[in-house]
Amino acid sequence: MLTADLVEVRRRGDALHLVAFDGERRALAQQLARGLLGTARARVGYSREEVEAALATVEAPARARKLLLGLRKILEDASGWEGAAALDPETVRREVFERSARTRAGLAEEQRYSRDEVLRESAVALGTTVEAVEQALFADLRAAEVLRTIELAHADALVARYASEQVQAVLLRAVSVRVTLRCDSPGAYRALFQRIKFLRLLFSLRHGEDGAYELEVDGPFSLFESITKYGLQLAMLVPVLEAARHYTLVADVRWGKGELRQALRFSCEGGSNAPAERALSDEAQALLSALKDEGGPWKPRVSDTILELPGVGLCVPDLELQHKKTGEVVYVELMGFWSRDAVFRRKTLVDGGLPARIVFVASSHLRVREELLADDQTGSLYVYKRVPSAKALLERVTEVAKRPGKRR
Amino acid sequence: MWTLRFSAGTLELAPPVTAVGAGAAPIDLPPSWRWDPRSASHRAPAIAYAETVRHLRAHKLPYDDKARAYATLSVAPRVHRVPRPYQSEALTAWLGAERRGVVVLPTGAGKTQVAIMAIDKVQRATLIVVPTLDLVRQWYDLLRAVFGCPIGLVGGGEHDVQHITVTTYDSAYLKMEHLGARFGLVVFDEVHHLPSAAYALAAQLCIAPFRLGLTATPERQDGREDALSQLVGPTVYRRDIVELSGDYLATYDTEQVEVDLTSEERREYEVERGLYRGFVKMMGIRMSTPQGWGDFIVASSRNEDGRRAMKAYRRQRELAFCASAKMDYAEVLLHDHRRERVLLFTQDNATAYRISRRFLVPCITHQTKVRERSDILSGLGQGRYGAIVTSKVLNEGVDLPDASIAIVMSGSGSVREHVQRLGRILRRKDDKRALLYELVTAGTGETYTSERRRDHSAYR
Repeated sequence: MLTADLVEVRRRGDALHLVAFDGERRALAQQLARGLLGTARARVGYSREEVEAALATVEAPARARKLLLGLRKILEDASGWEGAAALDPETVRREVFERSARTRAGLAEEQRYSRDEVLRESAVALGTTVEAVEQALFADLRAAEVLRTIELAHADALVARYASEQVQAVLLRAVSVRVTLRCDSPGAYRALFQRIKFLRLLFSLRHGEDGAYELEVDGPFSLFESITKYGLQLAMLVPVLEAARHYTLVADVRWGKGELRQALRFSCEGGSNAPAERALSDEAQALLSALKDEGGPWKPRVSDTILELPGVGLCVPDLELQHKKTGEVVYVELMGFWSRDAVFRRKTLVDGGLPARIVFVASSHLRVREELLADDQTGSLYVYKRVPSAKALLERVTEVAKRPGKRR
Repeated sequence: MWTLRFSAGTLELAPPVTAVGAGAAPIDLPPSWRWDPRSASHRAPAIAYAETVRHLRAHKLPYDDKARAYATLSVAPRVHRVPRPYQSEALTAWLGAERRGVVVLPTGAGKTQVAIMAIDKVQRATLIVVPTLDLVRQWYDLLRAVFGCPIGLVGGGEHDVQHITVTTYDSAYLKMEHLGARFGLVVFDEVHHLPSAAYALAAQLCIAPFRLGLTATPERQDGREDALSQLVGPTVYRRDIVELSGDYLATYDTEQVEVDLTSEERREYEVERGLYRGFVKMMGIRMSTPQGWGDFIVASSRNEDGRRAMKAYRRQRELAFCASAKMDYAEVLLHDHRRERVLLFTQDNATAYRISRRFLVPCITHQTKVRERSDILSGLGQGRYGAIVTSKVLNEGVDLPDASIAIVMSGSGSVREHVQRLGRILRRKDDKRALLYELVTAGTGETYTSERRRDHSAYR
């Protein structure tokens, strides 16, 4: 990932912005990316030291130096490197250094140590030449690794990754993030929220203006101190958000070095409407498999629905179970384990008339009782102790399906 | 009844289970607690656990403690060593300070023994936090031998949590939000690392009521050692190298050897240093101030002159650190001490590898894999190797009882680093007399660096 020192930002008051990356600057980035990729392709099979020396010959105007270094870093990270020696360096080192130690310790006062002699004897012992021994001695160091593959096929791909990683590098220093999201369809939202859940980010969601959704992300310790501990998780949010049609992101960041680090507000926007992969958390995936194994009248699948009660809120079920004969659908949402308040927000939704039958699956760790939702409501709460049971959940689903009330 | 829980590095105190919504319930709590509307509970950093439990008991508030997930142990050392008087004094002082605090003892004085005595006394699940993987390995081997029970490892690709577990500061920072309730005692080895922002967070994310910090040099260049008092406890016991030398540490000598640059090296040195100094002067940067280095980095990245100045800085430094006369003299010293165990220290990895290649001695840097490190260190102990070279990774903690000669080829101006390097050869063994050589290139910036790092009673 791009490091903070390679990010091109401008400060204005308390605001931190990325240097605009369009028009002339993007064209320059394309040109540099082509130069770097061409140079690297011509050096496949060379050592990292040699490849780095070759890449250093690609020049940029003084104003684009950081851009060049950033592109170089991404290219090197996205390349495949391997050790090169025919002999195992560790075996060679052990043979040479032990022989060297024996030789030195055995010298009389007037005798002199001969490096050449040690290498000659080691080569004989290893059945090879002195040159091969010298070459293999530190062939497994990073600088000696050989370039084998280049993952990025085109300059466009390198430039796109640079743009995305710039935002990520800033978010590594983020203490909290607020995002406004716009997608083309509920399915796209659904897939995107699933991916966010998959990243195990802690978030709250609100319906914003013009059909957008507002997302707030931080961690429990943020109540006491603004910390960047969650920065990596927040940075991983960026590639997920790129799947949206459009997003705007505002983050509180700690920017600068050491003691000089300052609290600033960073904002950016993006989104390309790229197809989002569907993803489930490990827990939801395990539950889905267990439900499939149970069989019976309900057919489980990953849900692509967002349930919304205008003016009250929304929820994003993980699974939906469709009755094989009646076609009736009951949704299932796993509540995770950290927010007790989220359970109460679901109760508000159900109390407000959420137009769907749903079972919320919550850990007993959240200290909520199943009686939180009454027996005659369209939503039900299933509280488990260690791992949710597919059998118990199916019983709850069947029972909820029988309840009177509106059906979606 | 209220419920006290550990949650991702924090403590939650929740009102009794309710089926009618969540709201702030009034309760008298220590100042570290706040109401968290996100989870409808009171919340505090996990470090507030001991204070909170004392408070709840004192105020007779009924609570169900679901936070504490650490075990009471029943382990006893299988290996019995008679503690040295200062080790017993250190333990007594720590026990008397509510089992919280920092013990300052010189390298080689047996700080580890104090920790073993503390674990034996407290009998609570214990996490040992150390700065390097070499120290993880060393603590792991020792604890397994002493207590004869499974020892956990977290870090370096391992994740095995046991009642006694060893981890690194980096892993503690990453994992404490998950592990923070599982240990009643935390031992912070080389505790001077702890006050950095990230590592300090690890200490705040765990509930351990009992905390022991160990170090030879608690002072930090940034002055943040004061934070130790809050994170671990006050300094409860302190002894210096000169107080223990001879009786409990090997006696030692230090010898500073000045070498000259060759005329060619001198010419190049003056040209490069002139370039670097000229740039710094032109930019009005004062390198002696705390922000001087940062200013130079920023200024040198802005234009070609700056980049040339940075290159010149590196080259003049390299010439001083790796003068040919130093390399030649190192050869003499390796011959003079060819039947002893020698450690060579450098400031940077490139020099370490250059020495390794020239003298055909094993090299340990951050790139050396754990298995090979282990083999090299045991090889030094067994006599398979007579000398090893390293840059900084062996500065701290690693036990090298057989080494009696240290050759400092180059280093920083850090007093701590220099004292720690001396400490590597001070572990007492028979009538060993340790000797530290410091090779300094005369008439270069290195003479000033050497003066700064020798500003310690151990070198007077």
